[in-house]
Amino acid sequence: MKHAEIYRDWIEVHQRVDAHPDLVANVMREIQQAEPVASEHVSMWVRLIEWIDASVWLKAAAVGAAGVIGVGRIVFGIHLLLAFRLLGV
Amino acid sequence: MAEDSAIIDRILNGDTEAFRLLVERYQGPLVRMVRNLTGSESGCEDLAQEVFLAAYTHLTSYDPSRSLFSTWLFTIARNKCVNAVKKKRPVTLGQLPERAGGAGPIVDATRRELLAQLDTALAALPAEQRTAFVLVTFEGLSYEEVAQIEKTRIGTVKSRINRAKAKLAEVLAKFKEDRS
Repeated sequence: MKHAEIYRDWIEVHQRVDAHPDLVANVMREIQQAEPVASEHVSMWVRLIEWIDASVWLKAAAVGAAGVIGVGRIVFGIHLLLAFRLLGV
Repeated sequence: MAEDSAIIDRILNGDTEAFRLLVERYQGPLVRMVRNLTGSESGCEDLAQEVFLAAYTHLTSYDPSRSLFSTWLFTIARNKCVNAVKKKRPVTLGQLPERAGGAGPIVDATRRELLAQLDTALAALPAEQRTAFVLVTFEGLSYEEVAQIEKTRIGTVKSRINRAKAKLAEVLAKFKEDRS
């Protein structure tokens, strides 16, 4: 047998390693005892984002609300400026 | 067959049992990778189990936009294997087994001896060369995936594999020379 063939055999031997049949059961047993993977806090935010993302109307409402808050801040700023002017501050 | 990302969504929404699908899908490649990277049959199942458990407990940190789930899983496995190998006594090329002398069932003995020498030579390679060689040659991963796992450039992966192959070729050449 040529050495090149033995080299190819060696590679094949290393490609044929199989997992033990109990591995899946052992991993799942460990996982049942482990902490839950997602915390409630994360789940709540994920659900909220998914909920907003699911509806076009909710997205439009969110953009609208952001716009109203933005415009409100500008109007309030001008209002304060005028009030200070009138008071002579 | 469900996509990895769909399964991960189910797990993150509390369906722990869905993780079984990922274990069934990746147990073969993972055990093979751990076995080939550590060079040891004993303990590779335990290490593979540790990798799956680590993947499960850190699943929220997996970002699908950055890599495939398999690449992320193999990165965890690679790190655990590197740590496991560090704990063992390093093998050097000078410790390659002595060549068998005399006659006998020559073909089988030669084959066994050369396979053993290749295994020892693989174990003696520097960790980064061994990892790149194992992932590409035994696992069939692309250079790109290995570069992601090793957090390096594709060119570096290629040169590591070439150096590993050169060292293995040296073992083959030396064996041939000793036999002739």
